[in-house]
Amino acid sequence: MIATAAGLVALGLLTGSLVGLVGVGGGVLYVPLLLAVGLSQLDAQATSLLAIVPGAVTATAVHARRGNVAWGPVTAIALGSLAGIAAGAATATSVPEAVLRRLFALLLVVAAARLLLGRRRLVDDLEPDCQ
Amino acid sequence: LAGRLRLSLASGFVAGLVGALLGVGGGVTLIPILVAAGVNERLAVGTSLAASSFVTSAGALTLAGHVDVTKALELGIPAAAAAVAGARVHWRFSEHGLRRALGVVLLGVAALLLAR
Repeated sequence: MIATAAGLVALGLLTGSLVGLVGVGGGVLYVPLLLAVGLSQLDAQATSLLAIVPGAVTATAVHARRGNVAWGPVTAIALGSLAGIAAGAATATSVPEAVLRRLFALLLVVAAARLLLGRRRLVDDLEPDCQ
Repeated sequence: LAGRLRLSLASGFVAGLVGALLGVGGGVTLIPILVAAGVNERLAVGTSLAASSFVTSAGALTLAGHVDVTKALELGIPAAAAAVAGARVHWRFSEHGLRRALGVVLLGVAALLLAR
């Protein structure tokens, strides 16, 4: 139990460093880590959502201070997301675990392709902000 | 303006759908959509993060019965602290190799999941 907790904290530190360094989202890393410690696909995904929140809020605070958040669109995106979340959650809880796992694997392939083939480095613009 | 509102609502729907279905933040969907819509990257990243904070919170609440709160916080809180440190040292690294390595790792994980 304690070993798992310490392991997750260490992996959290590692993942966060990668997110900060490379700029990829935590979700694609959290879900496999949570699968590795024994959660089901659905539980790993739901837990990943909560695990993303602290980093996303912290990073948002930094960006908002620099004026890099367009709050009008954020409000509209948040409103639009409610229907999407309801549909996504309903689908996630009703499809078989194996289907969910394959869909997630597909998402990983897309994320990997963007890392391997992408020419644009989205976090480059942030460098001066972080000094 | 009506067009922009529609785009924001629609991109929010997509971000919420993919986020809740697959357990990821909005960055995967929102940043490409915003950049394609002509938003500059800095604003796209900040806006995506703010929207993701909402989408992941609302998604976790919606799927609350499946959330392991302890494990989420054990991962998420150290990650938040480390991400700040990671962003600070970001400029020192040529992260090209790191991105490639991570891309290969994700492909490996995808293969493992598909083989299971």
